[in-house]
Amino acid sequence: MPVIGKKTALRFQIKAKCKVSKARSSSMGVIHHEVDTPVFMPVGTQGTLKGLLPDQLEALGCQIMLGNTYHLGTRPGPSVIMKAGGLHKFMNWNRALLTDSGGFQMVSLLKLAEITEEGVKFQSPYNGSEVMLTPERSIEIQNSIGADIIMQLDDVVRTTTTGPRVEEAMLRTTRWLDRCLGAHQNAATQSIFPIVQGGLSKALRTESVKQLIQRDVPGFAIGGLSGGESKNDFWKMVHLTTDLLPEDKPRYLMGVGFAVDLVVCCALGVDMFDCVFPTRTARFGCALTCSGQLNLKQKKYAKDFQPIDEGCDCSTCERYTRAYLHTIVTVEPVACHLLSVHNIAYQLRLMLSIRESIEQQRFPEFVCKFMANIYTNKEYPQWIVDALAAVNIHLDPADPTAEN
Amino acid sequence: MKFILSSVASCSNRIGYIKDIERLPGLMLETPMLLLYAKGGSIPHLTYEVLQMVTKDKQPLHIPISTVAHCHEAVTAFRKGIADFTGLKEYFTFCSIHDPAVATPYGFNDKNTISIWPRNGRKQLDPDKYMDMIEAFQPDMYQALCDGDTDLKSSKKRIHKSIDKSLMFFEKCLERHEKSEKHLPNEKFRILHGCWNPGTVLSMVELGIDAFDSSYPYTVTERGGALIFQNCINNLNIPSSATDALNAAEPVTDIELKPETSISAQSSSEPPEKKKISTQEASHAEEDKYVVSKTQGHTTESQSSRLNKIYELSLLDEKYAEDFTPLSRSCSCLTCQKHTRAYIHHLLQTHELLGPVLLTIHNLHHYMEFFKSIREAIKSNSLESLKRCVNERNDVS
Repeated sequence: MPVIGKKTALRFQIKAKCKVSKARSSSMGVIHHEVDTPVFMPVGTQGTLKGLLPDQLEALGCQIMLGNTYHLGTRPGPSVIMKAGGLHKFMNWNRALLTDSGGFQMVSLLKLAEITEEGVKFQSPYNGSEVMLTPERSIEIQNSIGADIIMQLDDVVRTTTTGPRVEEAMLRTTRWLDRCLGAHQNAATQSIFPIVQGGLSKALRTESVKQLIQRDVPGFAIGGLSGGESKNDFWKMVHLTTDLLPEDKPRYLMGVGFAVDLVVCCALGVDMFDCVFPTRTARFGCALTCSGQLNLKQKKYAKDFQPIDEGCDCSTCERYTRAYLHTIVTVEPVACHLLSVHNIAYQLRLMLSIRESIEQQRFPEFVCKFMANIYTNKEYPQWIVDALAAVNIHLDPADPTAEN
Repeated sequence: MKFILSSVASCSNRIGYIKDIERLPGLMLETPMLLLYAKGGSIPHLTYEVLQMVTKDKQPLHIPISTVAHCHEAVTAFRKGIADFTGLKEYFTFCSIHDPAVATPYGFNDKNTISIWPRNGRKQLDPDKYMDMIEAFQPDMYQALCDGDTDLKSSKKRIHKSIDKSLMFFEKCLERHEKSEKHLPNEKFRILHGCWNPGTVLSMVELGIDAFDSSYPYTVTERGGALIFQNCINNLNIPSSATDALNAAEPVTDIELKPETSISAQSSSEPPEKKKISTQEASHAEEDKYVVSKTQGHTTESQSSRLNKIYELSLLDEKYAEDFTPLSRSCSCLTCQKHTRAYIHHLLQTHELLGPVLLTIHNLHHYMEFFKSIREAIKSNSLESLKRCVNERNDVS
């Protein structure tokens, strides 16, 4: 019988488990919507998603999207959002929302960001004054925004960092988690996810998980793994972490979004992902397809009268040709909308295929076919071969299941 | 196709319709009509999916050649015309020469060509080059090549030259047109392109213009504006929407301007109908047109922005930051039904693409309703009342 209060803001139920790998298909219920996992969450940084109406996102089947606390906390600011009745009402998005803590943007966007035990100290880009983002303040802003899932403020280090700083950050993240939990005002409607840290150290990651699972939280995020680390290190840390995290709670791998990475990490037991890539690349005229990316600015598309992807049923592919898109990409704003619609449709369709294949016990076959489509010469990157082999999926060119 | 006029007087408001368009049978377009301005082949900020949320009616489109000249080669290879190429094949298309939302530089036409300014720099068109494009684009209606480089300050010599050249260009275009065996209807359809504000549009309607384009709501959107002028006759004389007071204190009649355009009419031969050429080109009065141009010396911008404040709200203004009401309480568009001024203000402040989308949805809806009111007002002989309502100051409620 779930404890009333913290647990009712999120219910997680596994519907099917892959018998070969660690993949699982589940249903995550939050206050505003049911979310089918594994899920890809598009990023609507400033309370909007690259020119798309909430209506269009609903039509695409998007169930949850992300907002950035740093950006929203600056403009329009928590006061305006609270007066609007929360971010859902402000942007009129009635499905699920997740906000990050604001910490990552600050460290990556701002100069002179200094991290102390108190919090993250930085210079306001608007008036140069010194501002301090503490765990308490981050939660306060996220409470005003009102997203269904909110993130703890963590001490995040670059993946390329080594030495005692990594351990310091990992331990501080736990202390900050407790401060976030203490400051949280809306436990009945908003769930806090802690963030596993520890860089590329097996020992530190293990210790981080050990500490975090002692807290009463409904889900876990895996942080610090979407930066410049080698793919070989990347998959090993994900694999290790999902082995240690409890099975009955969702696992959110932050900042991961390329199709190949999504497929591999689902095999490794991840349930939630976010990435700016699909919408950011749309702005530059790039469309995502099963066989790779198309850069529609290239002259070779000038007289290509096919849609972006014959097999895609999105509103862009229904009506618009590569040739026409070639004439408007990076010139007319409407091109960005059209490509955003397509790219999100692509990502969401991919996740749906993953879920369905897990539920129908053919996830390993799906993975093999997917990889064969991308790497048509069957020269798979070693890290993918290794990562999948670790969960018993074999990308052997001679393997009949790898053939299309 | 046929253009049928219901009224008789030659230089006053007229009501009519276009029908029997061979490519689009069953489509009937009432006049005075609003052509939806499209840049590069798409209505600015609106994908087809979002356009359906503004209106499911197949509104006629205005595609300026200068904004699609760079597609010539591709559309030629495509062979099915510009409407299909841009994903809008169910829509009636009209091609003009120039982009009405942009100031066209003066003095670049010569004896045999006129200049347009597509994306990659100035391009000179003679009638043959122009008709090559028209034949590739296959619009349902188009403007004949002409020299419209005249304004209030033009000399008599320039004006005469422009008329002579235009006649010459027209003959050449007509030659090509007839070679392709498409016929012209009897009635002469009048289109006046430009960013006319609503007051001026009404004055033009009174002079017998049949069609306008939506470049005005487009420019309003681009400057972060939302149209809130009264777009229908309100007998109670109460503003139909909750709007803001003007900054200007003077009453409306001081700012209302008389139209100062000259319309050069040209005749066409009278073979039976199938395809149309519009044969009108007008020069533009500076005051009536919203122009942001660094090449022009006039300081008409303050004048036109005072004028325009009657018709629109400026959503970039800080005062909207916490205004959680819709743009207009009486508007049924998606933006007014689902979003607030505060949200739109935030989107504009942060330069988010959704800002112009929401404004376009509202502005086009508002303007299309305006044209419905115009047609109703003509039919019921109440154009004067509509004029009064449109130009009325909107006070804070």
